[in-house]
Amino acid sequence: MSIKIKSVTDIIDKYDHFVFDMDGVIWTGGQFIESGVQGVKHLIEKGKSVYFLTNNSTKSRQSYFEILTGIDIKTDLNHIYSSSYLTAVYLKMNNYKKAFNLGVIGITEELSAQGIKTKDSDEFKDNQYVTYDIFNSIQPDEDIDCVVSGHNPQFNYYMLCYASLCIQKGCKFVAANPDSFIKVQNRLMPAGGCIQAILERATGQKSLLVGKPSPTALEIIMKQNNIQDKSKIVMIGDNPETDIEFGWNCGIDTILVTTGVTNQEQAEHVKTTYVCDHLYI
Amino acid sequence: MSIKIKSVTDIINKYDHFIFDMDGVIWTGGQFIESGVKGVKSLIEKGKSVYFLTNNSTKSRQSYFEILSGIDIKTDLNHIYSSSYLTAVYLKMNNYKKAFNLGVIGITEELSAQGIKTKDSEEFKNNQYVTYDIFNSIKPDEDIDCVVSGHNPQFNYYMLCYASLCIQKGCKFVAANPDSYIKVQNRLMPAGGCIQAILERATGEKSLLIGKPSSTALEIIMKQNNIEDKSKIVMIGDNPETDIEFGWNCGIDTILVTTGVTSQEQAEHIKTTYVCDHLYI
Repeated sequence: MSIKIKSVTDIIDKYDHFVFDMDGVIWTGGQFIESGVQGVKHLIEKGKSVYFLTNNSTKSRQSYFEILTGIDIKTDLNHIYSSSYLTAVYLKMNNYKKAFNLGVIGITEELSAQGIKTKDSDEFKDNQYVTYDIFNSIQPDEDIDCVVSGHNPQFNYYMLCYASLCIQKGCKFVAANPDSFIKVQNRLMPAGGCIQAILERATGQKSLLVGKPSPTALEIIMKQNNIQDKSKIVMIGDNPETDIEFGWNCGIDTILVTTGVTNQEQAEHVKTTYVCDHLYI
Repeated sequence: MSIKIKSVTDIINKYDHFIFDMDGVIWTGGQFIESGVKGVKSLIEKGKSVYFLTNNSTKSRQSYFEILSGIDIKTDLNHIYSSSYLTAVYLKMNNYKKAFNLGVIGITEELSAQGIKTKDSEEFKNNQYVTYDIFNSIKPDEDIDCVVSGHNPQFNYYMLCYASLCIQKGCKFVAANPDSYIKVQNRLMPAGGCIQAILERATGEKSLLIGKPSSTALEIIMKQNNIEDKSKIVMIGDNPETDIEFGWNCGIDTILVTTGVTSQEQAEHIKTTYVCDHLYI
Protein backbone atom coordinates (compact mmCIF):
# COMPACT_ATOMS: atom_id res chain seq x y z
CA MET A 1 0.00 0.00 0.00
CA SER A 2 1.68 3.25 -1.06
CA ILE A 3 2.08 6.16 1.33
CA LYS A 4 0.69 9.58 0.32
CA ILE A 5 3.15 12.34 1.16
CA LYS A 6 2.38 16.07 1.11
CA SER A 7 5.78 17.04 -0.26
CA VAL A 8 9.30 15.73 -0.56
CA THR A 9 10.17 17.29 2.82
CA ASP A 10 8.10 14.56 4.51
CA ILE A 11 10.74 11.96 3.69
CA ILE A 12 13.84 14.12 3.25
CA ASP A 13 15.74 12.58 6.19
CA LYS A 14 15.29 9.04 5.00
CA TYR A 15 17.48 9.35 1.88
CA ASP A 16 20.81 10.83 0.77
CA HIS A 17 20.43 10.44 -2.97
CA PHE A 18 17.43 11.68 -4.95
CA VAL A 19 17.18 10.56 -8.58
CA PHE A 20 14.78 12.78 -10.54
CA ASP A 21 12.99 12.01 -13.76
CA MET A 22 12.54 15.29 -15.67
CA ASP A 23 9.57 15.05 -18.11
CA GLY A 24 6.44 15.16 -15.98
CA VAL A 25 8.31 16.11 -12.81
CA ILE A 26 10.32 19.26 -13.51
CA TRP A 27 8.70 20.19 -16.82
CA THR A 28 6.04 18.92 -19.14
CA GLY A 29 5.48 19.70 -22.79
CA GLY A 30 7.63 22.81 -22.80
CA GLN A 31 6.42 24.28 -19.51
CA PHE A 32 8.10 24.12 -16.09
CA ILE A 33 6.32 22.49 -13.15
CA GLU A 34 6.73 24.90 -10.24
CA SER A 35 6.46 22.32 -7.45
CA GLY A 36 8.97 20.06 -9.17
CA VAL A 37 11.52 22.84 -9.68
CA GLN A 38 11.13 24.05 -6.07
CA GLY A 39 11.37 20.49 -4.78
CA VAL A 40 14.73 19.99 -6.52
CA LYS A 41 16.12 23.33 -5.31
CA HIS A 42 15.05 22.62 -1.75
CA LEU A 43 16.86 19.27 -1.69
CA ILE A 44 20.03 20.77 -3.15
CA GLU A 45 19.95 23.57 -0.53
CA LYS A 46 19.62 20.96 2.21
CA GLY A 47 22.81 19.30 0.98
CA LYS A 48 21.25 16.21 -0.57
CA SER A 49 22.74 14.58 -3.68
CA VAL A 50 20.40 15.19 -6.59
CA TYR A 51 20.72 13.35 -9.88
CA PHE A 52 18.70 13.74 -13.04
CA LEU A 53 17.81 10.59 -14.95
CA THR A 54 15.79 10.95 -18.11
CA ASN A 55 14.73 8.58 -20.86
CA ASN A 56 14.46 11.57 -23.15
CA SER A 57 17.17 10.96 -25.71
CA THR A 58 16.72 14.11 -27.79
CA LYS A 59 19.28 16.18 -25.92
CA SER A 60 22.82 15.72 -24.68
CA ARG A 61 23.74 16.13 -21.00
CA GLN A 62 25.19 19.54 -21.87
CA SER A 63 21.81 20.71 -23.17
CA TYR A 64 20.05 19.57 -20.02
CA PHE A 65 22.70 21.26 -17.90
CA GLU A 66 22.02 24.54 -19.69
CA ILE A 67 18.26 24.24 -19.21
CA LEU A 68 18.60 23.45 -15.49
CA THR A 69 21.12 26.21 -14.94
CA GLY A 70 18.80 28.56 -16.77
CA ILE A 71 16.21 28.12 -14.01
CA ASP A 72 18.87 28.41 -11.28
CA ILE A 73 19.15 24.75 -10.40
CA LYS A 74 22.71 24.22 -9.13
CA THR A 75 24.02 21.04 -10.70
CA ASP A 76 26.77 19.79 -13.01
CA LEU A 77 27.27 17.45 -15.95
CA ASN A 78 28.23 14.59 -13.64
CA HIS A 79 24.81 14.60 -12.00
CA ILE A 80 22.91 14.43 -15.27
CA TYR A 81 22.11 11.05 -16.80
CA SER A 82 20.30 11.35 -20.09
CA SER A 83 19.52 8.15 -21.97
CA SER A 84 21.64 9.55 -24.80
CA TYR A 85 24.65 9.59 -22.43
CA LEU A 86 23.87 6.19 -20.92
CA THR A 87 23.56 4.66 -24.38
CA ALA A 88 26.94 6.09 -25.39
CA VAL A 89 28.56 4.70 -22.22
CA TYR A 90 27.00 1.29 -22.81
CA LEU A 91 28.10 1.15 -26.47
CA LYS A 92 31.61 2.29 -25.59
CA MET A 93 31.91 -0.32 -22.84
CA ASN A 94 30.89 -2.97 -25.35
CA ASN A 95 33.16 -1.83 -28.16
CA TYR A 96 30.64 -0.66 -30.70
CA LYS A 97 32.16 1.58 -33.34
CA LYS A 98 29.42 3.09 -35.51
CA ALA A 99 25.73 3.55 -34.87
CA PHE A 100 22.75 4.27 -37.10
CA ASN A 101 20.96 6.91 -35.06
CA LEU A 102 17.20 6.47 -35.40
CA GLY A 103 16.76 9.17 -32.77
CA VAL A 104 17.83 12.80 -33.05
CA ILE A 105 20.84 14.94 -32.29
CA GLY A 106 21.26 14.32 -28.55
CA ILE A 107 22.25 10.75 -29.27
CA THR A 108 24.77 11.72 -31.93
CA GLU A 109 26.35 14.31 -29.60
CA GLU A 110 26.86 11.84 -26.75
CA LEU A 111 28.08 9.04 -29.01
CA SER A 112 30.60 11.38 -30.64
CA ALA A 113 31.81 12.44 -27.20
CA GLN A 114 32.62 8.77 -26.54
CA GLY A 115 34.39 8.39 -29.90
CA ILE A 116 31.62 6.42 -31.57
CA LYS A 117 30.80 7.31 -35.19
CA THR A 118 27.20 7.79 -36.34
CA LYS A 119 25.07 7.80 -39.45
CA ASP A 120 22.09 10.04 -38.76
CA SER A 121 18.52 9.23 -39.77
CA ASP A 122 18.20 13.00 -40.17
CA GLU A 123 19.84 12.48 -43.61
CA PHE A 124 16.59 10.86 -44.77
CA LYS A 125 14.16 13.43 -43.49
CA ASP A 126 12.87 14.39 -46.96
CA ASN A 127 9.93 12.10 -47.15
CA GLN A 128 9.63 9.83 -50.14
CA TYR A 129 7.12 7.12 -50.97
CA VAL A 130 9.28 4.02 -50.58
CA THR A 131 8.57 1.78 -53.58
CA TYR A 132 10.05 -1.72 -53.97
CA ASP A 133 12.77 -0.18 -56.16
CA ILE A 134 13.70 2.41 -53.57
CA PHE A 135 13.68 -0.25 -50.85
CA ASN A 136 15.96 -2.49 -52.94
CA SER A 137 18.37 0.41 -53.40
CA ILE A 138 18.92 0.80 -49.66
CA GLN A 139 22.35 -0.62 -48.77
CA PRO A 140 23.31 0.26 -45.18
CA ASP A 141 26.93 1.31 -44.64
CA GLU A 142 29.09 -1.76 -44.04
CA ASP A 143 30.73 -0.39 -40.91
CA ILE A 144 27.54 0.27 -38.96
CA ASP A 145 27.41 -2.22 -36.07
CA CYS A 146 24.50 -0.96 -33.99
CA VAL A 147 21.18 0.88 -34.24
CA VAL A 148 19.97 3.25 -31.54
CA SER A 149 16.26 4.10 -31.35
CA GLY A 150 14.91 7.16 -29.53
CA HIS A 151 12.29 9.87 -29.79
CA ASN A 152 12.18 11.23 -33.32
CA PRO A 153 9.65 13.91 -34.27
CA GLN A 154 10.73 13.71 -37.89
CA PHE A 155 10.62 9.93 -38.16
CA ASN A 156 9.53 8.42 -41.45
CA TYR A 157 9.16 5.09 -43.22
CA TYR A 158 12.46 5.35 -45.13
CA MET A 159 14.36 5.71 -41.82
CA LEU A 160 12.50 2.65 -40.55
CA CYS A 161 13.60 0.63 -43.58
CA TYR A 162 17.23 1.65 -43.20
CA ALA A 163 17.24 0.76 -39.49
CA SER A 164 15.48 -2.54 -40.10
CA LEU A 165 17.96 -3.51 -42.80
CA CYS A 166 20.89 -2.73 -40.45
CA ILE A 167 19.41 -5.05 -37.83
CA GLN A 168 18.68 -7.71 -40.45
CA LYS A 169 22.37 -7.77 -41.33
CA GLY A 170 23.31 -8.30 -37.70
CA CYS A 171 23.58 -4.90 -36.02
CA LYS A 172 22.83 -4.65 -32.30
CA PHE A 173 19.49 -2.99 -31.58
CA VAL A 174 19.59 -0.65 -28.58
CA ALA A 175 16.64 1.40 -27.36
CA ALA A 176 17.56 4.63 -25.60
CA ASN A 177 14.02 5.65 -24.80
CA PRO A 178 11.10 3.28 -24.09
CA ASP A 179 8.60 5.94 -23.01
CA SER A 180 5.37 5.44 -24.96
CA PHE A 181 4.34 9.08 -24.72
CA ILE A 182 4.72 12.34 -22.80
CA LYS A 183 1.99 14.71 -21.69
CA VAL A 184 1.70 17.94 -23.65
CA GLN A 185 -1.15 20.29 -22.72
CA ASN A 186 -3.12 17.36 -21.41
CA ARG A 187 -2.77 15.30 -24.59
CA LEU A 188 -0.39 12.42 -25.22
CA MET A 189 2.48 13.03 -27.64
CA PRO A 190 4.21 9.91 -29.00
CA ALA A 191 7.70 9.38 -27.56
CA GLY A 192 10.72 7.12 -28.12
CA GLY A 193 8.88 3.96 -27.15
CA CYS A 194 6.87 4.29 -30.34
CA ILE A 195 10.02 4.22 -32.46
CA GLN A 196 11.23 1.24 -30.41
CA ALA A 197 7.90 -0.53 -30.98
CA ILE A 198 7.78 -0.03 -34.75
CA LEU A 199 11.36 -1.22 -35.20
CA GLU A 200 10.82 -4.27 -32.97
CA ARG A 201 7.77 -5.13 -35.10
CA ALA A 202 9.61 -4.57 -38.38
CA THR A 203 12.47 -6.88 -37.41
CA GLY A 204 10.80 -9.34 -35.06
CA GLN A 205 13.60 -8.58 -32.58
CA LYS A 206 13.52 -7.19 -29.06
CA SER A 207 15.73 -4.21 -28.39
CA LEU A 208 18.22 -3.99 -25.56
CA LEU A 209 16.90 -1.29 -23.28
CA VAL A 210 19.34 1.22 -21.84
CA GLY A 211 16.84 3.68 -20.39
CA LYS A 212 14.49 3.13 -17.41
CA PRO A 213 13.18 0.63 -16.37
CA SER A 214 16.44 -1.18 -17.13
CA PRO A 215 18.67 -1.08 -13.99
CA THR A 216 21.71 -0.36 -16.19
CA ALA A 217 21.36 3.34 -15.37
CA LEU A 218 21.59 2.80 -11.61
CA GLU A 219 24.65 0.59 -11.97
CA ILE A 220 26.37 3.41 -13.84
CA ILE A 221 25.18 6.10 -11.39
CA MET A 222 26.28 4.15 -8.29
CA LYS A 223 29.63 3.28 -9.82
CA GLN A 224 30.45 6.78 -11.02
CA ASN A 225 29.42 8.35 -7.66
CA ASN A 226 30.72 5.69 -5.28
CA ILE A 227 27.29 4.99 -3.81
CA GLN A 228 27.02 1.71 -1.96
CA ASP A 229 23.79 1.71 0.04
CA LYS A 230 20.67 1.35 -2.09
CA SER A 231 18.38 2.04 0.86
CA LYS A 232 19.57 5.66 0.77
CA ILE A 233 18.42 6.20 -2.80
CA VAL A 234 14.94 7.20 -3.93
CA MET A 235 13.62 7.58 -7.51
CA ILE A 236 11.10 10.33 -8.30
CA GLY A 237 9.04 10.08 -11.48
CA ASP A 238 5.62 10.30 -13.17
CA ASN A 239 5.63 7.18 -15.33
CA PRO A 240 4.79 3.81 -13.73
CA GLU A 241 6.11 1.79 -16.66
CA THR A 242 9.52 3.44 -16.61
CA ASP A 243 10.25 5.35 -13.37
CA ILE A 244 8.43 3.17 -10.83
CA GLU A 245 9.27 -0.08 -12.63
CA PHE A 246 12.89 1.11 -12.58
CA GLY A 247 12.68 1.40 -8.79
CA TRP A 248 11.38 -2.16 -8.50
CA ASN A 249 14.00 -3.52 -10.89
CA CYS A 250 16.80 -1.80 -8.98
CA GLY A 251 15.51 -2.44 -5.45
CA ILE A 252 15.14 1.23 -4.51
CA ASP A 253 12.19 3.24 -3.15
CA THR A 254 10.05 5.36 -5.46
CA ILE A 255 7.93 8.50 -5.36
CA LEU A 256 5.19 8.63 -8.00
CA VAL A 257 4.19 12.21 -8.81
CA THR A 258 0.87 13.13 -10.39
CA THR A 259 2.15 16.11 -12.40
CA GLY A 260 2.84 14.15 -15.56
CA VAL A 261 1.33 11.17 -17.38
CA THR A 262 -0.30 9.72 -14.25
CA ASN A 263 -3.26 11.45 -12.62
CA GLN A 264 -4.30 11.16 -8.97
CA GLU A 265 -6.90 8.49 -9.69
CA GLN A 266 -4.55 6.35 -11.73
CA ALA A 267 -1.86 6.74 -9.06
CA GLU A 268 -4.04 4.88 -6.57
CA HIS A 269 -3.57 1.70 -8.61
CA VAL A 270 0.18 1.86 -8.96
CA LYS A 271 2.46 -0.08 -6.63
CA THR A 272 4.97 2.52 -5.43
CA THR A 273 6.56 3.47 -2.11
CA TYR A 274 5.09 6.98 -2.08
CA VAL A 275 2.62 9.07 -4.05
CA CYS A 276 2.98 12.85 -4.14
CA ASP A 277 0.88 15.52 -5.87
CA HIS A 278 3.21 18.50 -5.23
CA LEU A 279 6.89 17.90 -4.50
CA TYR A 280 7.12 21.24 -2.75
CA ILE A 281 4.48 23.48 -1.26
CA MET B 1 2.17 -33.14 -37.60
CA SER B 2 1.79 -31.35 -40.92
CA ILE B 3 1.65 -33.19 -44.21
CA LYS B 4 4.15 -32.27 -46.95
CA ILE B 5 2.46 -32.11 -50.35
CA LYS B 6 4.23 -31.89 -53.72
CA SER B 7 1.68 -29.53 -55.22
CA VAL B 8 -1.90 -28.38 -54.79
CA THR B 9 -3.11 -31.20 -57.07
CA ASP B 10 -2.35 -33.67 -54.25
CA ILE B 11 -5.34 -32.43 -52.27
CA ILE B 12 -7.50 -30.94 -55.00
CA ASN B 13 -10.40 -33.34 -54.51
CA LYS B 14 -10.71 -32.70 -50.82
CA TYR B 15 -11.89 -29.08 -51.11
CA ASP B 16 -14.31 -26.94 -53.16
CA HIS B 17 -13.14 -23.51 -52.05
CA PHE B 18 -9.52 -22.36 -52.15
CA ILE B 19 -8.63 -19.06 -50.47
CA PHE B 20 -5.34 -17.63 -51.64
CA ASP B 21 -3.15 -15.13 -49.87
CA MET B 22 -1.36 -13.10 -52.55
CA ASP B 23 1.93 -11.62 -51.17
CA GLY B 24 4.32 -14.52 -50.87
CA VAL B 25 2.12 -16.94 -52.79
CA ILE B 26 1.30 -15.41 -56.18
CA TRP B 27 3.87 -12.62 -56.10
CA THR B 28 6.54 -11.26 -53.84
CA GLY B 29 8.17 -7.84 -53.82
CA GLY B 30 7.06 -6.93 -57.32
CA GLN B 31 7.80 -10.28 -58.99
CA PHE B 32 5.36 -13.08 -59.83
CA ILE B 33 5.83 -16.55 -58.33
CA GLU B 34 5.44 -18.99 -61.23
CA SER B 35 4.27 -21.96 -59.18
CA GLY B 36 1.72 -19.86 -57.35
CA VAL B 37 0.27 -18.36 -60.51
CA LYS B 38 0.04 -21.78 -62.19
CA GLY B 39 -1.46 -23.31 -59.06
CA VAL B 40 -4.29 -20.78 -59.10
CA LYS B 41 -4.93 -21.25 -62.84
CA SER B 42 -5.06 -25.04 -62.56
CA LEU B 43 -7.68 -24.86 -59.80
CA ILE B 44 -9.84 -22.42 -61.78
CA GLU B 45 -9.60 -24.67 -64.86
CA LYS B 46 -10.72 -27.64 -62.77
CA GLY B 47 -13.84 -25.72 -61.74
CA LYS B 48 -12.87 -24.99 -58.15
CA SER B 49 -13.95 -21.75 -56.42
CA VAL B 50 -10.91 -19.60 -55.95
CA TYR B 51 -10.90 -16.54 -53.70
CA PHE B 52 -8.14 -14.06 -53.03
CA LEU B 53 -7.74 -12.80 -49.46
CA THR B 54 -5.02 -10.30 -48.78
CA ASN B 55 -4.02 -8.22 -45.78
CA ASN B 56 -2.37 -5.79 -48.17
CA SER B 57 -4.43 -2.65 -47.80
CA THR B 58 -2.62 -0.50 -50.35
CA LYS B 59 -4.87 -1.36 -53.29
CA SER B 60 -8.58 -1.60 -53.93
CA ARG B 61 -10.22 -4.80 -55.19
CA GLN B 62 -10.40 -3.24 -58.66
CA SER B 63 -6.62 -2.82 -58.72
CA TYR B 64 -6.07 -6.45 -57.73
CA PHE B 65 -8.57 -7.55 -60.36
CA GLU B 66 -6.58 -5.71 -63.01
CA ILE B 67 -3.29 -7.26 -61.88
CA LEU B 68 -4.73 -10.78 -61.85
CA SER B 69 -6.44 -10.32 -65.22
CA GLY B 70 -3.15 -9.00 -66.55
CA ILE B 71 -1.56 -12.41 -65.98
CA ASP B 72 -4.62 -14.24 -67.38
CA ILE B 73 -6.13 -15.36 -64.09
CA LYS B 74 -9.87 -15.62 -64.71
CA THR B 75 -11.61 -14.08 -61.71
CA ASP B 76 -13.94 -11.21 -60.78
CA LEU B 77 -14.35 -8.51 -58.17
CA ASN B 78 -16.62 -10.72 -56.08
CA HIS B 79 -13.84 -13.24 -55.52
CA ILE B 80 -11.33 -10.68 -54.34
CA TYR B 81 -11.16 -9.77 -50.67
CA SER B 82 -8.61 -7.10 -49.92
CA SER B 83 -8.33 -5.85 -46.35
CA SER B 84 -9.23 -2.42 -47.72
CA TYR B 85 -12.58 -3.82 -48.92
CA LEU B 86 -13.20 -5.83 -45.74
CA THR B 87 -12.49 -2.77 -43.61
CA ALA B 88 -14.97 -0.70 -45.62
CA VAL B 89 -17.64 -3.40 -45.25
CA TYR B 90 -17.02 -3.60 -41.50
CA LEU B 91 -17.17 0.18 -41.00
CA LYS B 92 -20.32 0.44 -43.10
CA MET B 93 -22.04 -2.36 -41.16
CA ASN B 94 -21.20 -0.51 -37.93
CA ASN B 95 -22.28 2.94 -39.11
CA TYR B 96 -19.00 4.76 -39.16
CA LYS B 97 -19.11 7.92 -41.22
CA LYS B 98 -15.63 9.36 -41.63
CA ALA B 99 -12.22 7.76 -41.27
CA PHE B 100 -8.72 9.12 -40.83
CA ASN B 101 -6.81 6.94 -43.26
CA LEU B 102 -3.37 6.16 -41.87
CA GLY B 103 -2.83 3.78 -44.78
CA VAL B 104 -2.75 4.71 -48.46
CA ILE B 105 -5.12 5.04 -51.40
CA GLY B 106 -6.60 1.54 -51.55
CA ILE B 107 -8.34 2.15 -48.25
CA THR B 108 -9.76 5.49 -49.34
CA GLU B 109 -11.07 3.96 -52.60
CA GLU B 110 -12.92 1.14 -50.85
CA LEU B 111 -14.30 3.37 -48.09
CA SER B 112 -15.58 5.87 -50.65
CA ALA B 113 -17.25 3.03 -52.57
CA GLN B 114 -19.20 2.28 -49.38
CA GLY B 115 -20.11 5.93 -48.86
CA ILE B 116 -17.69 6.56 -46.02
CA LYS B 117 -15.79 9.88 -46.05
CA THR B 118 -12.04 10.00 -45.43
CA LYS B 119 -9.29 12.37 -44.37
CA ASP B 120 -6.07 11.10 -45.89
CA SER B 121 -2.75 10.98 -44.04
CA GLU B 122 -1.21 11.70 -47.42
CA GLU B 123 -2.10 15.36 -46.79
CA PHE B 124 0.76 15.39 -44.28
CA LYS B 125 3.40 13.73 -46.39
CA ASN B 126 5.70 16.76 -46.38
CA ASN B 127 7.83 15.88 -43.44
CA GLN B 128 8.22 18.39 -40.66
CA TYR B 129 9.98 18.21 -37.30
CA VAL B 130 7.01 18.15 -34.94
CA THR B 131 7.77 20.58 -32.12
CA TYR B 132 5.52 20.99 -29.07
CA ASP B 133 3.97 24.02 -30.82
CA ILE B 134 3.19 22.07 -33.97
CA PHE B 135 1.79 19.21 -31.91
CA ASN B 136 -0.43 21.60 -29.97
CA SER B 137 -1.74 23.03 -33.22
CA ILE B 138 -3.06 19.66 -34.40
CA LYS B 139 -6.84 19.60 -34.09
CA PRO B 140 -8.39 16.55 -35.74
CA ASP B 141 -11.58 17.19 -37.73
CA GLU B 142 -14.60 16.92 -35.44
CA ASP B 143 -16.52 14.56 -37.70
CA ILE B 144 -13.84 11.84 -37.89
CA ASP B 145 -15.13 8.80 -35.97
CA CYS B 146 -12.58 6.13 -36.81
CA VAL B 147 -8.93 5.61 -37.71
CA VAL B 148 -7.78 2.92 -40.14
CA SER B 149 -4.16 1.78 -40.07
CA GLY B 150 -2.49 -0.02 -42.98
CA HIS B 151 0.76 -0.25 -44.88
CA ASN B 152 2.12 3.23 -45.54
CA PRO B 153 5.46 3.68 -47.31
CA GLN B 154 5.29 7.44 -46.75
CA PHE B 155 4.38 7.28 -43.09
CA ASN B 156 5.78 9.95 -40.81
CA TYR B 157 5.63 11.19 -37.23
CA TYR B 158 3.11 13.96 -37.94
CA MET B 159 0.63 11.40 -39.34
CA LEU B 160 1.17 9.34 -36.18
CA CYS B 161 0.32 12.35 -34.00
CA TYR B 162 -2.85 13.10 -35.94
CA ALA B 163 -4.02 9.49 -35.72
CA SER B 164 -3.16 9.24 -32.04
CA LEU B 165 -5.08 12.43 -31.25
CA CYS B 166 -8.14 11.09 -33.12
CA ILE B 167 -8.07 7.94 -30.99
CA GLN B 168 -7.49 9.97 -27.83
CA LYS B 169 -10.72 11.84 -28.52
CA GLY B 170 -12.64 8.60 -28.88
CA CYS B 171 -12.34 7.42 -32.48
CA LYS B 172 -12.49 3.68 -33.16
CA PHE B 173 -9.09 2.20 -34.05
CA VAL B 174 -9.26 -0.39 -36.82
CA ALA B 175 -6.24 -2.19 -38.29
CA ALA B 176 -6.61 -3.27 -41.91
CA ASN B 177 -3.23 -4.94 -42.15
CA PRO B 178 -1.37 -6.67 -39.29
CA ASP B 179 1.44 -8.15 -41.39
CA SER B 180 4.76 -7.23 -39.79
CA TYR B 181 6.67 -7.36 -43.07
CA ILE B 182 6.79 -8.80 -46.58
CA LYS B 183 9.72 -10.39 -48.36
CA VAL B 184 11.39 -8.27 -51.04
CA GLN B 185 14.47 -9.74 -52.75
CA ASN B 186 15.14 -11.83 -49.67
CA ARG B 187 15.01 -8.92 -47.26
CA LEU B 188 12.13 -7.92 -44.99
CA MET B 189 10.25 -4.74 -45.86
CA PRO B 190 8.09 -3.27 -43.08
CA ALA B 191 4.35 -3.70 -43.68
CA GLY B 192 1.05 -2.55 -42.16
CA GLY B 193 1.61 -4.31 -38.86
CA CYS B 194 4.37 -1.80 -38.14
CA ILE B 195 1.94 1.10 -38.47
CA GLN B 196 -0.53 -0.81 -36.28
CA ALA B 197 2.21 -1.38 -33.69
CA ILE B 198 3.38 2.22 -33.47
CA LEU B 199 -0.16 3.54 -33.13
CA GLU B 200 -1.07 0.96 -30.47
CA ARG B 201 2.03 2.04 -28.54
CA ALA B 202 1.30 5.75 -28.96
CA THR B 203 -2.25 5.41 -27.63
CA GLY B 204 -1.97 2.45 -25.27
CA GLU B 205 -4.96 0.94 -27.10
CA LYS B 206 -5.37 -2.28 -29.03
CA SER B 207 -6.74 -2.02 -32.54
CA LEU B 208 -9.67 -4.01 -33.84
CA LEU B 209 -8.22 -6.28 -36.48
CA ILE B 210 -10.06 -6.75 -39.75
CA GLY B 211 -7.41 -8.61 -41.71
CA LYS B 212 -6.14 -12.15 -41.11
CA PRO B 213 -5.85 -13.75 -38.58
CA SER B 214 -9.22 -12.28 -37.54
CA SER B 215 -12.02 -14.62 -38.64
CA THR B 216 -14.14 -11.64 -39.72
CA ALA B 217 -13.00 -12.13 -43.32
CA LEU B 218 -14.27 -15.72 -43.51
CA GLU B 219 -17.65 -14.73 -42.09
CA ILE B 220 -17.99 -12.19 -44.88
CA ILE B 221 -16.73 -14.58 -47.59
CA MET B 222 -19.06 -17.43 -46.54
CA LYS B 223 -22.05 -15.11 -46.27
CA GLN B 224 -21.52 -13.37 -49.60
CA ASN B 225 -20.94 -16.70 -51.44
CA ASN B 226 -23.48 -18.90 -49.64
CA ILE B 227 -20.83 -21.32 -48.38
CA GLU B 228 -21.99 -23.53 -45.51
CA ASP B 229 -19.46 -26.33 -45.06
CA LYS B 230 -16.15 -25.21 -43.58
CA SER B 231 -14.54 -28.59 -44.19
CA LYS B 232 -14.59 -27.81 -47.91
CA ILE B 233 -12.51 -24.67 -47.53
CA VAL B 234 -8.71 -24.46 -47.42
CA MET B 235 -6.52 -21.38 -46.86
CA ILE B 236 -3.20 -21.06 -48.73
CA GLY B 237 -0.59 -18.61 -47.43
CA ASP B 238 3.04 -17.95 -46.53
CA ASN B 239 2.69 -16.19 -43.18
CA PRO B 240 2.12 -18.31 -40.04
CA GLU B 241 1.05 -15.33 -37.93
CA THR B 242 -1.66 -14.25 -40.34
CA ASP B 243 -2.60 -16.96 -42.90
CA ILE B 244 -2.14 -20.11 -40.80
CA GLU B 245 -3.40 -18.48 -37.61
CA PHE B 246 -6.44 -17.40 -39.64
CA GLY B 247 -7.07 -21.04 -40.52
CA TRP B 248 -6.94 -22.05 -36.85
CA ASN B 249 -9.20 -19.17 -35.77
CA CYS B 250 -11.76 -20.05 -38.43
CA GLY B 251 -11.60 -23.83 -38.11
CA ILE B 252 -10.46 -24.45 -41.69
CA ASP B 253 -7.48 -26.37 -43.12
CA THR B 254 -4.33 -24.57 -44.21
CA ILE B 255 -1.49 -24.94 -46.71
CA LEU B 256 1.73 -23.17 -45.71
CA VAL B 257 3.86 -22.32 -48.75
CA THR B 258 7.58 -21.62 -48.55
CA THR B 259 7.72 -19.06 -51.37
CA GLY B 260 7.29 -16.05 -49.11
CA VAL B 261 8.31 -15.06 -45.59
CA THR B 262 8.66 -18.65 -44.33
CA SER B 263 11.61 -20.81 -45.39
CA GLN B 264 11.48 -24.61 -45.69
CA GLU B 265 13.34 -24.95 -42.41
CA GLN B 266 11.04 -22.57 -40.55
CA ALA B 267 8.00 -24.35 -42.01
CA GLU B 268 8.93 -27.55 -40.16
CA HIS B 269 8.07 -25.84 -36.88
CA ILE B 270 4.69 -24.47 -37.88
CA LYS B 271 1.46 -26.21 -36.97
CA THR B 272 -0.42 -26.32 -40.27
CA THR B 273 -2.44 -28.93 -42.15
CA TYR B 274 -0.09 -29.01 -45.15
CA VAL B 275 3.27 -27.61 -46.19
CA CYS B 276 4.04 -27.05 -49.87
CA ASP B 277 7.16 -25.71 -51.61
CA HIS B 278 5.66 -25.37 -55.12
CA LEU B 279 1.91 -25.08 -55.58
CA TYR B 280 2.23 -26.35 -59.14
CA ILE B 281 4.95 -28.30 -60.87
